[in-house]
Amino acid sequence: MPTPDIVRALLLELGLAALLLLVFAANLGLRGADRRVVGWIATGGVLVLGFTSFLVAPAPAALGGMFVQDGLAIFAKRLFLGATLIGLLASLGEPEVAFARRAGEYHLLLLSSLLGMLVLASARDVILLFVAFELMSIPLYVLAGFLKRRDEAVEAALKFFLVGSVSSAVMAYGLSFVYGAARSTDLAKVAQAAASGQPLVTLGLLAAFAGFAFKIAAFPFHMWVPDTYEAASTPFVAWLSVAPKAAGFVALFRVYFEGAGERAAAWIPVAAGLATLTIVAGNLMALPQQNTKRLLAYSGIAHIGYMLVGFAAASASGVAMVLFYLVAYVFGNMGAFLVVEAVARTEGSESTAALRGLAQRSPLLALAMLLFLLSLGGVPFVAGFWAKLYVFWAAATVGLYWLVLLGAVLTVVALFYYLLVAKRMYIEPPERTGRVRLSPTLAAAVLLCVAGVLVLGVYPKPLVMAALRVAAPLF
Amino acid sequence: MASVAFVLIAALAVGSALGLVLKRNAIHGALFLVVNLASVAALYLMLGAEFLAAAQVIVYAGAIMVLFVFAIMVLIPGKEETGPDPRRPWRLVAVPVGALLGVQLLVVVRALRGGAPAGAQPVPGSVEALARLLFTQYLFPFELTSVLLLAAMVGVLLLARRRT
Repeated sequence: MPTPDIVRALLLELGLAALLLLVFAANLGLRGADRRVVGWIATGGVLVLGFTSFLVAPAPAALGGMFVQDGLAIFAKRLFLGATLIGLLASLGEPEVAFARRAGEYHLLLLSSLLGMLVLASARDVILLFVAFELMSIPLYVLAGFLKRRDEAVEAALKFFLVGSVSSAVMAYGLSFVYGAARSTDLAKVAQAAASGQPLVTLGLLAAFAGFAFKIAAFPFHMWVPDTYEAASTPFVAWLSVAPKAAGFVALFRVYFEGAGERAAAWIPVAAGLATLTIVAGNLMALPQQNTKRLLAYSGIAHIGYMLVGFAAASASGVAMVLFYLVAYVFGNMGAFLVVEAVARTEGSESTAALRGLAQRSPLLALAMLLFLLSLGGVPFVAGFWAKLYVFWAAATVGLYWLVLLGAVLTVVALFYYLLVAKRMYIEPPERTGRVRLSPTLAAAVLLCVAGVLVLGVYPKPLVMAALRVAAPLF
Repeated sequence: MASVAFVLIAALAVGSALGLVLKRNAIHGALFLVVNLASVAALYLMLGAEFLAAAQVIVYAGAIMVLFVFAIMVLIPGKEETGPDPRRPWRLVAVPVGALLGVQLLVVVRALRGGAPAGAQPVPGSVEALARLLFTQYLFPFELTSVLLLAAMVGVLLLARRRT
């Protein structure tokens, strides 16, 4: 194979690897608070890569078929880069001293996790998939414990690490069965073996599904989420709550749907069952939360459940709607976390009580938070409404009416706890006066999220069309 | 000759495994485990799986056992660990689990009595065959592991360093 083809196929990954080295080198040359420059380098680099991703065209599979740059991969990579850009922007003005001193490590780890996601979106080989998965996950464990002076952060990182390692082990064990029965690490051959109904392949894929469920934090495997979200730094959590989840879903599509054809329907009961549990548990556990980050953690679990509803449809439109949901979720969820961060920087508290009377103190910030909450709750004319509607529609077309009904009922529960937060902002009187001060970069990140939520809410059609286009070749 | 060596090594493996379970002293148990892992590595070597044998010695008998011994020495067992077991009744669970594993073993042995299953070919387990795959077909994942190791190293330094 001539070299330029490989370079073209791996353009984003190579660019990101170069950016990693640049961050590494810049960190060596800088001292103390100057290290914040590293953050700007990383943010600028990701922005450039984000623009580059619009020049990348689908290409035939490279590296002996294990690396595929199709529409789905490019769609996912744009999503990862966009989410990372918002997350990096938000962490630029982080007042915590650790961020200035160890900016090099923070950005290096975050970008290597991003590299794992980019490769994961393109991996059509079991080994590459697993290596990319680990490259994505291992930096996350460290980043969760980044504020190592705080005991809770260390505890959360340890929990996350243990649960994550177990899930990786379960996944590797399942994939070893798949390899043993299919006699190939190529996912195309695995799909053929699964289609011929080999029991060991099915068993292995089922075990691997448990591993994936850990990573996307579906219900019985969600224990690490609230603690990790509460203890880790908020801009990182905002990113953690969306990007790795999106990567997990893309990997699920590749392993379970691509090339499976009619047999994809075999996963409907597993996915529908998991979706039911996740929606019910996530929404009910979110109800009593007094800490906004924990509330968003549990409601995030519920959102994973709604995405699993789209997954359970096991159809091209189901996949497309999950992709749309993921984009809407990136803006809504990241935005909500970033408002929490902005308030916490002024108030020093992440409880819902800190949001009291926000509408009187900082009307614009409160309006932004209201938009994010409405989007997460699924109210018309913000992004989240279409997202929920579309996954329900996809599930209804394959006859999963009970699942749609259940999801719709629990949406009301979700709306209740989201509006409780809104009530604190708009109806309860403020405890203190004075505006909540936003650093310009954090404000820019929040604005990006507001724009995303509004544009997708008013005019979702182009993105839906794009998602349908990239999902169609999978089946 | 080979069968004599096999019997010797197998006896060593079984004996050290028994020692691991029966010894009360945790350090003695850990040392028995080292012997057990090493003798299993010798069995791999007899099967021609050189790489697996080397990995078994380096990873299990080496790295993981060092970690075990460290953990045992740092967390010196107190009364709770050496006194009577508070979960003694739970040991009865071992009977059905052991019986299940025994049945599985019987089934496997019976299935293999007539020689290796048809279609099974000896897999080349040499370092050379492995390296060939690693540097041709799986070059990209291999290179990606280098980024993974870099990230892990940075992470360890970040978490373990006392002050910056």
